[in-house]
Amino acid sequence: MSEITLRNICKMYDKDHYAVKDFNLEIHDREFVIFVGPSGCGKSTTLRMIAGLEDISDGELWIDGQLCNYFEPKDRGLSMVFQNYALYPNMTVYGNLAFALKVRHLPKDEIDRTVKQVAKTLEIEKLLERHPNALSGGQKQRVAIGSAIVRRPKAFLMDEPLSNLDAKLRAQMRIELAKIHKETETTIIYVTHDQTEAMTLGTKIVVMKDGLVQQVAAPAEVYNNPANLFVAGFIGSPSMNFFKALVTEEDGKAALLLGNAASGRKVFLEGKRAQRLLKEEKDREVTLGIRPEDIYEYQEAVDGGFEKNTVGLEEVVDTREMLGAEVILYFESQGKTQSVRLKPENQSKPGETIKLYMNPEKIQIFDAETEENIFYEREI
Amino acid sequence: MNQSGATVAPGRNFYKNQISKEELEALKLEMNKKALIKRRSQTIFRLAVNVLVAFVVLLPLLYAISIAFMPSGELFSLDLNLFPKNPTIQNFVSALKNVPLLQFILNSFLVAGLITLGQIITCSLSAFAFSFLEFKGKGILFMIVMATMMVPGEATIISNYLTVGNLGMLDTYSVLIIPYLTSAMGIFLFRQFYMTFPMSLYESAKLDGCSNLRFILKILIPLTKSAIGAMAVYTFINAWNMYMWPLLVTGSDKMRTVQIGISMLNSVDSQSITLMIAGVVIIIIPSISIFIVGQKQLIRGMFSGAVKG
Repeated sequence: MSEITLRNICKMYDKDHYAVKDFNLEIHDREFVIFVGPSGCGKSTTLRMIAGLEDISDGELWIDGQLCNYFEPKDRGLSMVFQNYALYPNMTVYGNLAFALKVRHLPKDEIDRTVKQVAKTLEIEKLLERHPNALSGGQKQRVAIGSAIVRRPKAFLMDEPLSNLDAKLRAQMRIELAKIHKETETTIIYVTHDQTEAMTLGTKIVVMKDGLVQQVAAPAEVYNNPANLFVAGFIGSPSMNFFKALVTEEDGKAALLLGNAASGRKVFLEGKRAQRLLKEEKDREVTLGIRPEDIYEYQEAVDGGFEKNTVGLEEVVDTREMLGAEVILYFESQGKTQSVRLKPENQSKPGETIKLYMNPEKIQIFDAETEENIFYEREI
Repeated sequence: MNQSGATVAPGRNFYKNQISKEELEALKLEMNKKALIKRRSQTIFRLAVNVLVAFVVLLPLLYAISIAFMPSGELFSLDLNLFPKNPTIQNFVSALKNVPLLQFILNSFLVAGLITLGQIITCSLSAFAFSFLEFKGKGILFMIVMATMMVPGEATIISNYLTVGNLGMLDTYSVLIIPYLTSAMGIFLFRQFYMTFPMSLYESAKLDGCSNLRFILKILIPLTKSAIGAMAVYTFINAWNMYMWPLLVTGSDKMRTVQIGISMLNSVDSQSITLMIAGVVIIIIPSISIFIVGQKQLIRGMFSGAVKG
């Protein structure tokens, strides 16, 4: 059992500069929590505060009902995996795995049993006699994870553990991490700037920016129901397209005018969403967000029944990326590079004009000033 | 294909884009032979140059050894005599008889050994603090420590003398050892080594529940063996060669060190170069042997920072 609660956690390096501000989070047993955000957003600092490697400037950290602000790192019962593995180069793999147990003065045969068992789980039994410098990156990573597991901590803290690996190994280790999480049944707090890792591994994602938590939700929730412009743009690759648009009313529908009125580019919203939009933002400029996979060609739009909702959206293709199962076309609009994800049958070449249809159901609208998502549905 | 392929110049059949197995084999043998000869001649050349340079560098030392075996009359002659014509060990015998050289060697060993040990302990501890711990004024404190390197020993020698004199420590082992128990140079050297280790190593040890002292003993020291070796050799030889301070603070034969012992051989009324050189040769032996034992460590320590990266 492990419950970790962070209440208004702050980190200040100097008087009025917050590295982390009012961080609130409840982490339940066996959750896989991901802190994600661009570099310098305070995610690593938060993790290090939980570990006890940084002082908490303000706020409370509760682990299993105990206030842990002033506990020594070793007394918090957590273990950490570092980006650069932090293996002791002078010890063999066995020595590395056994070190934390030796420090705790456990009996020798128990240490031996635990180390061998962990080595078996991670399939590093053959490496036990080797020194870290004789291991490959992936093997080092396994050993680092092993030396974290061996202590049976209340929770694992992982600080970008995969970022030193190459792309293929990273994908492989990602799957293994998910497996380890399932097998060891512990809580994991994981820091990454890679949103693929965040989406695939996490049961709960904490999106951060400039020391502030932007949204805490399950991966699908963060993707489909982003709280604000930043979250919408950060999660997803290629990232969400944003257009400046003016909200008007036309025949009871909400019409979003993209660019100037003369261009005639319009997207219509209907029903509840339209009402909400008109109520809050009528005749105001907003930011329209739509993911590349929610933009279609004519035939699919007809199949979806929304071909009449997009008017005049014609774009010149800049670049074409063939990815096998899909094709991504990039185009310039409103001074920004936008993208659309289409079926590989699409044969558009750079320089050609393509007609695009947005699915109005998938459109998100962000307030121009607060950048909050108008359609964001708060969890109850 | 003919069998004479081996003797024909390579490339004979290349225009045909074909070559028989035998020809290829012969070609390979021939090339291997050539490469071997080239490699060997290069090795011989390098060895010869090395021997020559080593001889030039070692000449004063070798000459000193040779003088030590000469009877005193033989040195001052007009002919060039690099080698003793009538080798004798009389110089060594009288050097040992005139001054208690063995006692001095023992003293020097004790002093230099304890200074080395003390410096390794104090320097590694303070270097650990300067590289892994966070505390207020760390930068300034380190700067102050480094600044002491710029103060020449001679500048403080009088005030140090007065201090130890007032403490009543003159003419003891402790006065020879205690002022040298730490060195800014050693702190700097160790700190540079410790900085090459990632901070996460220390943090990981801390999370594992490892104390600072245990971290130093179990992880840092094993990893910096070469630095310690280099530092030990350097400190030992420096301490062995100390002259001014021991001369000032020791008075009795019981406490004097070897360097002073040598100067005692050089008395005004019975100056004998051969005798002195014999004394020098005797006292060189320990420091040279320390160097021979530690040279691997010393060189590795001096260059590891540069090569390891």
